[in-house]
Formats: sequence, C-alpha cells, structure tokens
Amino acid sequence: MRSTALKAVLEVVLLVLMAGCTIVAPKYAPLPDSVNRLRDAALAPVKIGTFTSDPKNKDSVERLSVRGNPYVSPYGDSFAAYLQEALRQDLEAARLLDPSSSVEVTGVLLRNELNALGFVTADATDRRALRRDSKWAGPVRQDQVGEARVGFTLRRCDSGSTSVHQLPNRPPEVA
Amino acid sequence: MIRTKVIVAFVGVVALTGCAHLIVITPDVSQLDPRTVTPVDRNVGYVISEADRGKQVETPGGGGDKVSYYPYRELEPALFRVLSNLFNRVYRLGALSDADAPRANNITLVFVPEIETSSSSDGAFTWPPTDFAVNLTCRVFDRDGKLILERRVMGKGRASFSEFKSDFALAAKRAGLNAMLNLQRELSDARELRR
Repeated sequence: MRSTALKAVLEVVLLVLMAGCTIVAPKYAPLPDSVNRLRDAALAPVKIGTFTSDPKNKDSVERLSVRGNPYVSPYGDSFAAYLQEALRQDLEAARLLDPSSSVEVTGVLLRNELNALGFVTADATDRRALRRDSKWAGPVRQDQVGEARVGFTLRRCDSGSTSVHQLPNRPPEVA
Repeated sequence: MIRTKVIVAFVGVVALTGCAHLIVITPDVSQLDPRTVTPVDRNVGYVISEADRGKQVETPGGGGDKVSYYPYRELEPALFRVLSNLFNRVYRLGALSDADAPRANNITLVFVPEIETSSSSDGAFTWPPTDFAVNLTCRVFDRDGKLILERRVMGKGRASFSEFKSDFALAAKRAGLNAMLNLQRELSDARELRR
C-alpha cells in the first residue's frame, strides 16, 4: 500500500519535472550592422503599419515549440507583432521613423520556422517569410516577399530551466 | 520499497538543487528614448572583448539559490542603443588596438565598458532576486588611444514576488535599464564628447 503511494508520488514529481514550460522569446534589440546599413542607405523616413499573420497559415506561423515547450512572442503572443516591433525599433534607431510620413510599411507573416538543434545549448534560427507592402498615401505601390532571420541561443541547465538569448553577432536579415 | 525511497529522495534532491537558475538580464531597449538626447555628429566604436562577452557570472538569488547570466553579452544591446541614440554611426570593435576600423569608418571615439553586478533576495522560498545592482564604468578614448572621459554609473532594480512571477529576471532588467538611462544622461551632458 505504502509502496504504491510512494510510486504515485514519484510519478507526480517526475511529471512536474518533465512538464513543458512556456518559453518567451527575448524582446527584440537592434544590432549595429542592421542599424548602420539602414543609416547608410539614406532612405526617407517611413511609418510602420500593422503586420498580420497569413490567415491560411495562422496556426503554423504563430505556434512554435522548442523541445516540446511552447515558444511564444513577447509582443502580444504574436510573431507578426514581433516583426512589426523589430522593424519599428530598427527604423527608430536609424532615425528613419516618422509617424507623419506619407509612406507606410505593412507586412504579412507567411511562414515561421524555428530550428533548435542540441539539447543543452543550441543556436536557433527563427526564419520568417514576410510579405512587405509599402503604401504611398493610399494604394499599395510595392509588394515584396523576403525572409527575416533572427538568431537565438538556447541554454538549458540540469534543473530544467531554459534561457534564450538573441544572438548579438547574428543580426536580423531582411531580404 | 527501499529502492523506491532512494529514487524519490534522489529526484527530490535534483529538483531542489540543480544548477544556478538561468536568467537573461537584457532590458527592454525600446525604453531608451532617443528623443531625450541631443545627437552628436560623430562616428564611434565600442569594445567588448570576446572573453568578456563569454563571461558567465553567478550571484545570489533567494532561498540559498543562485542566478546565472552573461553581463556583457546581455547588456550589450542596451549599450549599443545608448550610443546609437547619441552618435551618428556605432561600430563594434574587436579591441582598443584595432586601428584599421577607426580609420576606415571615420571613428573618432572608442567606448570601453566595465560591468559589475550584484543581487540579493529577501524571499526565503523563491529563487529570483528581488534586488539587483549594475555598476557600469565607461571609459572613452580618442583615436590616438588617449583617455578623454571616464564615467561611473549605478543602476538599481527591485521586483516583488507579484511582479517577477511572470519574469524572473525583472529586478535585473530594471537595474540594467536604470544604469543605461544614467549612462545616456551622463554621456549626453559630457562636453568632452562634443568637441
């Protein structure tokens, strides 16, 4: 009887230890290479519109997992909103953000994949296919499909806690 | 029976000890507002060595536990944001003696940070720190390697259980943000950087 109870306790403890915890992606931080590239491009200031997920692939682009744990965006649980905020911060750091601009950039997140290899530590690349639209005070004038890549490092210690860094030496690349 | 007890005890010990708890102390850099400073039309660089970038430290948390993080790597995005708010172009340099990059990119100032951290907790049953401090010394050299400015700032952060239960590194992030806001103000006010 006591043996059965102990086994039950053991199973509960193991289940608690193995239970998946939601991992929140780190908030975006602009990096030197991308900001300098924007400043060197001598672009006119723009404003940022709303980025949305492709309605046909909403589940696959907004639901990622790392080693069985849900991996969520820190911006309203939306990776489309993550891209919107990342672009906003890059443009702001490059002094290219102007809410009164007649040019508005919007985007649609088409595909979102996270590859994390290794168990204790891993360099992960979150690849996001993105359709960008630019509007000049009205109709869409430019429609481009590109890919954004954000690098992360994941670390896990033997107590099970996991931390995620944005890699400082791998700037986001938007093609 | 005894074997089961041993397994239960082992699992309990592993659950209660483990390694230091991993946290990431990078603050929300979007709170470092560029509109609060007057930009300086100069290109600058900053030096964080690969040894410092890979330096992992452990400081106390609560209940006898420790927290583990990378101070230089995780505060670098905030340092870059402070410098890019103030200056025209900001470049990462490999070392202070990296002479080619300043010439190629017209860099006139090089910033070298030194970071020390400490933490503590008044909670006996929770491991995240309730108090965190960042001491940041920033030395600025001209293109000839001459020290022209040194500023030391401190940042403090505090978070209660009701706040940090959704972000275990909250006190640390607040301390890092506080230190960088203080650094931004000090550098913005420094006449030596505008000559």
